[in-house]
Amino acid sequence: MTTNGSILLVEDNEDDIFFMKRALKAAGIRNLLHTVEDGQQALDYLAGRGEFGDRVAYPVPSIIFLDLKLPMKGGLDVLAWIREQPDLENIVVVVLTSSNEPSDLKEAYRLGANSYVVKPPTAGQLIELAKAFKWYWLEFNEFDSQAAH
Amino acid sequence: MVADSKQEPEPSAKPPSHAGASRNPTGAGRLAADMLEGISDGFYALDENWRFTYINRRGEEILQSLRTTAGGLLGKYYWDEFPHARGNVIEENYRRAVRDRVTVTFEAYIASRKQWLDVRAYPFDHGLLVYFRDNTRRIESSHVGQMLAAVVESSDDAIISMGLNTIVSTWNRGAQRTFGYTAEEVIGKSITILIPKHHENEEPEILRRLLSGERVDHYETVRQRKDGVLIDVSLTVSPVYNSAGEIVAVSKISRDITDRKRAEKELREAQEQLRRHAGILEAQVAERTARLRETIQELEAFSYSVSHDMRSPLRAMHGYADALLEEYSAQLDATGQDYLKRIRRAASRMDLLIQDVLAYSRVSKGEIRLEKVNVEAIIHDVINTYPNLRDRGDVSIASPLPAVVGHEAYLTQIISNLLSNAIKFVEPNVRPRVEIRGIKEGNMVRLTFEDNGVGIAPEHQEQVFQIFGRVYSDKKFEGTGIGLAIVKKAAERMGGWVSVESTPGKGSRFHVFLKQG
Repeated sequence: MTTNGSILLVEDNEDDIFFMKRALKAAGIRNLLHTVEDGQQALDYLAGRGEFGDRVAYPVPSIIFLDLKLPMKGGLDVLAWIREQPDLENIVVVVLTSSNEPSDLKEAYRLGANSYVVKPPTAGQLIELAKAFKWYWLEFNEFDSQAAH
Repeated sequence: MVADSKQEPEPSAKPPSHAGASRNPTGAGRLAADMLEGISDGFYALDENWRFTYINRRGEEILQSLRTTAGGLLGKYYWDEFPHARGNVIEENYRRAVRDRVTVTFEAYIASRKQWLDVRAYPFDHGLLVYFRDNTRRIESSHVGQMLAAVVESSDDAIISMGLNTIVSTWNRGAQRTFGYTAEEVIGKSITILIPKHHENEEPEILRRLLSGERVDHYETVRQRKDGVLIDVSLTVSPVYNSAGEIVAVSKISRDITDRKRAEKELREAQEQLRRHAGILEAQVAERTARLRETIQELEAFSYSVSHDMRSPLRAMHGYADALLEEYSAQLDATGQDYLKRIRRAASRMDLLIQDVLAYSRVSKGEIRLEKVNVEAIIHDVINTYPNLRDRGDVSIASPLPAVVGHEAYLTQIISNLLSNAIKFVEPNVRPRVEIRGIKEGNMVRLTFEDNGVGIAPEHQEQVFQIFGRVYSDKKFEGTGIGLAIVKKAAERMGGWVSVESTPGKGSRFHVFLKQG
């Protein structure tokens, strides 16, 4: 069942944002995409603070692509916070990072990431990744539709 | 021959008045003869022609051992019977006795029999009366005694004897040299004059030990010289027994060990200084090592994060080149597109390089724990993870491989690098083949990766294990030049090492030595 949930991209590198958007588009993922560029903004968005209080414009996402190296607050801190919020516990969090440090991987899973992906070095591979993602997570994976939006 | 001749003006013993008497005297002669027969000393008489006119039984006995001929001595010529007596103290004394009409007393040493004779000869009636005894034991012991006395006197050590009442009875030259007192000053006084303050109860203690049968051997203590100076000595104290086995005196050998003690003290002080310096050096080394370690860690962290962060712009370069090719290919001619493709290739190469540098630094830093690892399982994992290994080549394993201890991630790194090299470095149109074997050698395991690749010339076999030690150009075989350096580093961190055997054109055998599991 194709989900229509929105996607939140938490990423500070503008090139990576560009390639990600391109890849999602190339893979045919048309879900609503919002981007925040630092950890604090991510928390504000998910908490609905400030302008993010408008849940029509800024819906709570079904999927979060989370980079780890972020200004303000790091990705792992954001992840830890997300998993502590009972109304956010159903969000699929994919850590999408350039770090292949075993310690980061361990910690991400310990804090409750659904998946850990190392950013592929080429844009082509990123598109492949996006396609695979769409196929698995958006078409087959079941989301809890009763989760608060 | 030692002899001691003394001259006596008047003999005290009167010999019998008849010279030339046979064994058959009368009256007083018989009494005298009986007496002579009975005494324990030898006695004989010689006439003016040096012939035996009388010899008592004892004399015959004693002289028998000196004779080479048999038969009675009466009437025999002395000098024939006893040729040993010629030309020495015996002849000298006998002739003098007769010539000068004096009594002679001497000791004669018979070398052939190792015998000492005490001899007294009286001139009588133009002949000689000789009275003698075998005194080997007495004379020898007195000579031994003289020798011992000479030894004691010449010794450098202080040799002192004293009674059980501590009164000194003998004092050698060594004692004088050591303690300063002459024999006259000390003999008859108590040994305690040598004992300084605070050591007074040593003497009774030593005596007590001696009397209970102990020896006192190399007992180190302090004594006082005549001039008041204190010296370090080593004492050896022995009991002197009488014939009944009772201790009647004490013999003490004192060796002045002041010099030795001083040398020991200096040695100890030198050692102490050395220890202190070694301690200081060690502390310095430890501090420097700690600082060095800190620096290395900082460098490692730095190079790691720098390498890591370099991947991001590379992604961008690659990505924008891709984007251009995809979206603007219409506006680009073949050359333009070629440039973009080169940009992409360069970015890829750099990314590979960074990944290998990161892999190398991961393998170099940090503490690792060694544990048992299943090599075969890792090999299968690697092949499954990189399918092109299986697709492009044949990998065979001589199962079962011996158990090893190591680090799983490092071993994975080694195996994947060696296998991918084996697949890569072949001549065109040759299907790569790798055989993996393992064998126990001593307390290690040797894993061998044998391939049918292009081989490595002997002059390159060392540099291939170095970082960036590439042999082939990138055109011929793509690569970063770090792969084997990672293999070597990883093996060493697990307590092993790597080596290679290879002939150009005939393939290579990479040996990885690991600890046995």
